[in-house]
Amino acid sequence: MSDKVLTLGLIGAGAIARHAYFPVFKEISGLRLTAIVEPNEKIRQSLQDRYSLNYLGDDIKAAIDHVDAVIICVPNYLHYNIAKFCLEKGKHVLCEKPVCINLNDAENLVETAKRNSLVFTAAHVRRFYPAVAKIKEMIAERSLGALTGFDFREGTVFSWQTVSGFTFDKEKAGGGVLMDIGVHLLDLLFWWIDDKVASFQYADDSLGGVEATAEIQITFRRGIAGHVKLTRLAVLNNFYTLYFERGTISWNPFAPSRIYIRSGDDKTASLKIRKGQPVRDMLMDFSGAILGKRPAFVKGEEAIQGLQFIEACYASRKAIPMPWIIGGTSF
Amino acid sequence: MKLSASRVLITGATGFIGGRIAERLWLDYQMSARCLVQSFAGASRLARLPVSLYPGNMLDKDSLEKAIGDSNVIFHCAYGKSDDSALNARINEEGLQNIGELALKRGVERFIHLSSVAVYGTEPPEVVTEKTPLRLSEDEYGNSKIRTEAVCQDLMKRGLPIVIIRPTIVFGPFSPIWTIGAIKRVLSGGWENTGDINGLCNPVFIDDLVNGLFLCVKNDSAIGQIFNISGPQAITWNDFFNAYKKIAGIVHEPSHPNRKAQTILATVRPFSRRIIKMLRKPIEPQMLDIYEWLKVSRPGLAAELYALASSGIQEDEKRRFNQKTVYPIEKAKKIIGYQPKTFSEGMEITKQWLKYYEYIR
Repeated sequence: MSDKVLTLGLIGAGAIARHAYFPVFKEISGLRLTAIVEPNEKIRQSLQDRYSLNYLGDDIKAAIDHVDAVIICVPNYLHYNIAKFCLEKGKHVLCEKPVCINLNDAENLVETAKRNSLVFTAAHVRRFYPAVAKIKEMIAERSLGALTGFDFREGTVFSWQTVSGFTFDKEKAGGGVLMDIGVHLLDLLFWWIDDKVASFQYADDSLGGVEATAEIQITFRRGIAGHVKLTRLAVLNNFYTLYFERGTISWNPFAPSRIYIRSGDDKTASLKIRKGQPVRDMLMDFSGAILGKRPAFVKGEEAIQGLQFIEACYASRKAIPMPWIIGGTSF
Repeated sequence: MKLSASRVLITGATGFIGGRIAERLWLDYQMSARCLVQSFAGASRLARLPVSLYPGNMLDKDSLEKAIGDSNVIFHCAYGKSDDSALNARINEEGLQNIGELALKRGVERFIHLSSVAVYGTEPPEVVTEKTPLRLSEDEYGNSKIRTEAVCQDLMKRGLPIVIIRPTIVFGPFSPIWTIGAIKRVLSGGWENTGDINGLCNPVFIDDLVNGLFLCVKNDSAIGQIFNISGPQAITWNDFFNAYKKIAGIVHEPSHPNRKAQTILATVRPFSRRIIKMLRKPIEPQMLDIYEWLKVSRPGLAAELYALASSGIQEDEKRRFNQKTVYPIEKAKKIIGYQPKTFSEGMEITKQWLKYYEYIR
C-alpha cells in the first residue's frame, strides 16, 4: 500500500485553504488533490484550471466517492456534521482547529473514527515546527533543571479577512480568541508539559459577544504553574516562555526558527533551528498515518483534551478587570 | 428623546469612536446597536458585545437598507480613509447622502454626524467657535469634512434632525493617532528637542466625546446644531506628549543601545520620511504586510523602523504644534449640558489600557 497515491478532497476553499494548503499540495508526492467542495462560485471559478480535479462543486455527497481522505476547512460550526459524514463514508479526516465547537461532538468524532479504523486528526500545525519538537527535547533533557513554570503571551491585531464573519458569531465560532489562537497555544502547552491540569482560573473581556482577550492562570498536577494571555486587540510581547530551575526557554510563534535560552548566569543565547514546512509536514504525517506507517502525530484525543479545557474555561469565566471598559456612569 | 428607549445604528462601528459608542450603549443602557461593518477584519473589539453586525459599506444602498432596520437614531462615524482620495470623497459625500436619504425615508429621529475641527482649516484663528467660518486648505481630510457638512445642511433643510459634532484631539483607549500613535512617538524618540514648540493642544477623552454624543440624542434642543467638542481646557502640546512620556517612564532622551545604528539613524532621518513617503504609494500594501509581520516577529526591528519613519518633529508638523488655537465648548455646555472631565482623569484610564496591552511596561 506504500506506493499508493492517496486522493484528497478539500472541503472549503476559503481563507485558510488559500493561505495554508494550496501552496503545498503540489509538493507532496503521495497525495493528490482530486476534489474541492466550495459553496462560493467565484472561488470555484478561480480554482478551475489550477488542479486536475475529478470534482469541483458545492455538493459533498457528489465529491466523497472521488477521495480517500478529506481536509475540512469550513467554518467551525460545520466541522462536526461534515467530519461525521466523511468518517461514516469511510474517509480519513484532517480537520481544521477547533475540531468541534463542543466536547460531545468531538468525542463522537474520535469514537466514530476508531470504530471505522480511520485517521481523524486536528490541524494543530504548530506542532510541526522543528523548534517545537526541539523544545520538547530540551524539557526532557533537563539541562536547565526541572520545568517550574511558564508565561505564554500571544497577541496581534486581528486582520483575518473572513468573508462570512463567522469568527465573530458565538454560535458559529464556538468562542473568541481562546477557541481560535488558544487552541494552538494550549496544544503546545499541554504537549510540552505533558501533565493534567490541577487547577485554573479563567477571565476574558467578553461583554456578551466573543472574547477578544483572555487570561488563564494554570497549575498542573506536578506543580508547574503559569499564566497565559491572548488577545486580538494589540501586539503583545509574543513569547512562550518556559521557566526552569536554572533558566528559561522562550519561543516566538511568529519567528519560529529561533529559540532563546537564558541560563542561570543571565546570559541569553539564541539557537537557530530550521523553519521547516509545518503545513507540508502535517499533510505528510496525515498521509503516513493513513498508509499505516505510524499513528497521526496529533491524536484526536489530544484535540479533545484542549476542547475539554476550553469548555471548562468558558464555564468558569470571570471578567478581566478593565477600568477603561466601565461605562458612562463613572465617566 | 430617550436614548435608552431608542434603536441605534452605528456606521463606522469598527473604528475607534464607533467602537466606543457601541460599548457605551451596551454598558450604560444594555442596548445592542446595529453596526455597519465594512470589513470583518477590524471587528474583534466590536464582536465582544452582543451587537448585530451588518456587512456592507456606505456606497452599497442595499447593505444600508439592511443595516438601518428599524433604527431611529444614527451615529454616522464612517468615513473613507483609503489612499484613493476620489473613493474617499465618494464614501464621505455620496455615502452620507445614501444613509441620509434612507434616514429621511425611515423617519429617523436623530442623526449624529461626526465631523471634525479640521473644517476650520490648517491655520485657524486663536479662538474657534462654531460660528468661525470654515476654510478649505491643503488638508484633504478637513476639506472632505467641509463637503460632508454641506450635505448635512441640505439634509437638515429637508427635515432630517441632524446634529453635527466637531471633535478636537480625541485620545483614550484604542485611539489610533492620539494614543497609540502618541505613545509610539514618544517611545521612538519622536518628542525630543521641543524647545521651539509652544502651541496648544485641545485634547478630549473618548468617553467625554461619547457623553457629548449621547447628550445630543437626549436633548431635543441639539437638533440642527453644530458643536465643537473638546476637553475642559487646552493644554500645551508639550504637556500632552510629556504626559505620555511620563506614563512610559521616559525621563531623559532615549538613547539607542546600538551606537552604530544610532549614527546611521541620525544620518538618514532627515531624508527617511521623504523617501518613505515616495516609496509608500506603489508598495504600501506589501510594506504594511512586512511591517505588521515585523511587529509580531521582530518587535525591536519594527520599533527601529518606526523610529526611522516617524522620529523627530518634522517641519510640516511644527505649524500644527505651534498653533495657539482654542476651541471653547461653551455652546455644548449651555445647550446640551456637556461637562468633560479633566485631562489627567482620562490619561489615568489611558495609562492602564496602554499597560494592559503592553504598549508600555
